Amino acid sequence: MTDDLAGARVGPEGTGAGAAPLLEVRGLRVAFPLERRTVYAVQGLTFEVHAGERLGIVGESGSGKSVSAQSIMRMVPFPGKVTGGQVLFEGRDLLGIPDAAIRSVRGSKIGMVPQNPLSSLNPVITIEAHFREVLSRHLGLSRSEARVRAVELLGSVGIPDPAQRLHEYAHRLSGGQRQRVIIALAIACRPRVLIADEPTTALDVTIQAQILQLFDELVAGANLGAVLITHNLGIVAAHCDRVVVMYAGRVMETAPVVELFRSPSHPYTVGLLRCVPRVAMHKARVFATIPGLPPQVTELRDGCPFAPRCDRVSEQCRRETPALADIAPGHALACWNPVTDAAARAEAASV
Amino acid sequence: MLALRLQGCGPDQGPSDGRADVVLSYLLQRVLSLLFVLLLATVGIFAMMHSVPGGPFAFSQGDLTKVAMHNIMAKYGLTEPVWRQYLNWIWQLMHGYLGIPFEEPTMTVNHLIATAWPITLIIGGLTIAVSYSLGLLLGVVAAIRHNTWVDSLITAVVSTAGIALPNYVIGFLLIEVFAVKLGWLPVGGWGSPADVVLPVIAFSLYPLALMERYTRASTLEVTYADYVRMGRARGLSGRRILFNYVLRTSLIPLITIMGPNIPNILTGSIFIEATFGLPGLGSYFTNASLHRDYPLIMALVLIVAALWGACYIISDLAYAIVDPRVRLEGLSR
Amino acid sequence: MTTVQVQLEPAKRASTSFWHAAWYRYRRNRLSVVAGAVALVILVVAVVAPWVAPYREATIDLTHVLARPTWHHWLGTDEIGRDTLTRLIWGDQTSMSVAIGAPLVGALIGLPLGILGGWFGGALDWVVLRLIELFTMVPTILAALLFITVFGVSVWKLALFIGITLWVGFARLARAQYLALRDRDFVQAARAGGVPTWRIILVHILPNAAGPVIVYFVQQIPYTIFTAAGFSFLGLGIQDPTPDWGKMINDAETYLATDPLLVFVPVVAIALACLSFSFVGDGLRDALDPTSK
Ligand SMILES: Nc1ncnc2c1ncn2[C@@H]1O[C@H](COP(=O)(O)OP(=O)(O)OP(=O)(O)O)[C@@H](O)[C@H]1O
Ligand code: SF4
Ligand SMILES: [Mg+2]
Repeated sequence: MTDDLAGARVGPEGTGAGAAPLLEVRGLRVAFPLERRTVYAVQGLTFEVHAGERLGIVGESGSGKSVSAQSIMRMVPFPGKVTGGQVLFEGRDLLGIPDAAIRSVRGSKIGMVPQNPLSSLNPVITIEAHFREVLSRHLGLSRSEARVRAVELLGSVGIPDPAQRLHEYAHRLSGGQRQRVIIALAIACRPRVLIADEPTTALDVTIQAQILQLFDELVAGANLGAVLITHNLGIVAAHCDRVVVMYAGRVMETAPVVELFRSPSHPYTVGLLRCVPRVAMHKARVFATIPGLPPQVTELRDGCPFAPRCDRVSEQCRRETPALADIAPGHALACWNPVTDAAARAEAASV
Repeated sequence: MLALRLQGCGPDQGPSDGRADVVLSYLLQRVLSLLFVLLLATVGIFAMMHSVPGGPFAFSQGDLTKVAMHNIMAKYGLTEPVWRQYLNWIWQLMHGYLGIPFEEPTMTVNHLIATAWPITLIIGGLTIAVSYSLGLLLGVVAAIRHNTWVDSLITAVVSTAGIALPNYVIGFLLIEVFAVKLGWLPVGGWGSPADVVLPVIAFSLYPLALMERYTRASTLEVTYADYVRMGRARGLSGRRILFNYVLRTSLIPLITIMGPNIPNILTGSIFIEATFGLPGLGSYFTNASLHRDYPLIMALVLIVAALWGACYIISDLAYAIVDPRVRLEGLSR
Repeated sequence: MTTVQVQLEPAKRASTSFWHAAWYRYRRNRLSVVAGAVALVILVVAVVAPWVAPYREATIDLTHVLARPTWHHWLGTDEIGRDTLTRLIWGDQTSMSVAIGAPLVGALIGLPLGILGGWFGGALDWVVLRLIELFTMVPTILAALLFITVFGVSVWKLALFIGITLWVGFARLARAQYLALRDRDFVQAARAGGVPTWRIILVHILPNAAGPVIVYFVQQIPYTIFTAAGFSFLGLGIQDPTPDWGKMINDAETYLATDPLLVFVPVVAIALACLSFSFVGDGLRDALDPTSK
């Protein structure tokens, strides 16, 4: 694993095909047993993240992106339960280790940036206290050491006058500043993996761009493995190396970003690309044109989950679940009738 | 409601400037409003009490001669026009003198209250200590064990015994079991320390249940807040999350909810005092009501209302001091 | 929830499904269902008291004083030979009259004041707020007692007095509901469309506030039972010969050691009534007003 950025941009093969991934999710299943029915939010999700790589996870609302991120940290909200699969990090299955062990992974080996910076800081303790508690918990720093490091961290995420800011409470910072503080907290203990769940949805467009640029710099600078969850294909194109397209709790297609945009092969991916508005970045209209609604899976049955909305659906699609299979190096697909039609691709790819 | 009033100090002003001013003017405004309402209350009660024909002695000492009646009325100043009587009363009040009770003409109202209130205060103080601490504990435990049998058990027992059952019913059950059947504790009365136990238990249940409910609800609300999840995502220990993240914010609203309840408890429950035969403020109020003892009634109402108003203001202030968001920009709730 | 829908097609369809969902949610809570059945029995007995009570309400029989339960007197008799079961049943009528009457009075005073204060603002609102403050300051039990002291007592007066002290809660609730609904699209639209104020309040605001109001109403019932019985237990409430549970406790207190059943019967009646209405209230809250836990 090197700091070779050029390599990282091309994808895992570039970082050295033989290197083991930093984080590997294998066959993850998560279910929410509710009172009258069970929601199968994640069904056999598989992906991996390498050092220096930025993996984008895209999919419509409800496709299970956040639940997947939460299960990596073992933080699925009640009544959700991980019912199968593995989350391998540094050779250990995080799903199997004791509670105390997972707590020392959270925030120290794996950092998390949430969607909503406005409500993610404790309103009754100062910014400094936030840093102090993680730094003393994971690195055993003293009060004064923690303060020095906190100033440094705030500076590095571009907060002006950091020493002053330490004494503030969260409500006195702007949304962008709060998100920077949260990012600084997430990287405070030099994690190996950074998971960002729609880190910019709550922010306006200019701030979004700044935060994402910061994200890029941090990943490159520390050679992190990063997972960026988003609705926005524009963001994926600009800030990710590889993409996982999720639907109904499964991977539909995964490929290096350039490859995916050049030759999208899954009908769902093509659909997504087709409805990216020409002026990217406007989240609201992204999925406006795939007919039908994304499912909330409440019963397990065979067949392609996308079948009800797919324009290439065949009899086989309804009977058998397509498995994820490589169609090119680094490019895998779960579909019986992939899009090969150059015209459709070209239209989609013109984004 | 506090948030609105404190909104004067927005984030544009520095972290601390103008703060003392804001608090002072806020305090002044609240105290003035309290005094106004108190005045209104006394006028209303006074007018009401004098609006009925017959006067206080009409039915208690029915067979007095006209002359004797007039003499008594004159002694208490009841022959003057009502507005004069009110002004006299206010005048006396401003000198700290609450008048002479009709029922016990040899004493003053001040004196009566001075002997009765300590009893009520002891019961009330103990009740607050027991119910608030135990309610808090149970509420937090129920919230931490949300969706388990512990939670269900606490919630069921508390809402049955505390909220749904009248305290005098509980009182009778306690007397029946612990005093009559088991003979461990006295049936009632006042004098020995053992007399305190059953009244405090019976009186505690309702505030305890309230405290448990609110603590549980506000703790649960915070438990699922984003910043608590993020605290967990940073690997903080369960204890740290509980104390620094959950309780520190969830207990703040309790100040405004449970604060104003304190005067209610400190002025006693007429039902509890009757059930256990305690000679406290509540039983004087009951007696005064039975005999239309206006000076005593006015004094008691005034005490309760003033105490209530003061506690209300104090708890609002305490809220503003404890919660940095209110302190600086007002809560947007 | 587009404006057009609400305007053209009065909430009928939407509200049917709302009540359906609410009924479904209520039914799921078994405790509330049982409590509802008990409460219903208590209410029905109150209505049919004259026909089910074994004796006339005030029959005194000095030959059977403080009798133990027998075939003639299922629950025994009191110190002047009145049948306990009879007094229990008639006391139910007394209790329920006050328990339903008082919140009704409170709602009739509080709801209009709360909504009108919010709607018109200004001086009216100021007065309403001061009134609310005034009534919050004097504990409701003392206030009701004050009215009783001055104006005397009967079943209907008691309902009226307790009701007057209950109006504050209804006014607060109405104000809060009004403030929450005021800015909703359909109210704004109705306003913009020139719908008269009274119509907006009656058609758009009140039906939408119905859930919380019903919940609050039912929640006041156990409180009222508690207070009314408490007054007569102190000897300040309902007087003989009207049978009343609280009065029964008051009368029987002397015989607590020798004849505990006399105290036990009314205590259990009060407890059962308070509990059942309280659990019905909880069930309704979860069913109608799920956000306010
Ligand atoms: N706490 C919960 N209780 C019940 N079901 C849940 C819970 N959290 C998530 N789900 C279900 O899991 C599925 C996936 O949700 P998830 O939040 O992961 O979607 P997402 O892809 O992150 O969507 P979004 O883009 O809107 O954030 C949804 O169908 C949702 O209903
Ligand atoms: S498997 Fe069939 S239904 Fe599913 S995406 Fe491919 S073509 Fe469409
Ligand atoms: Mg999400």
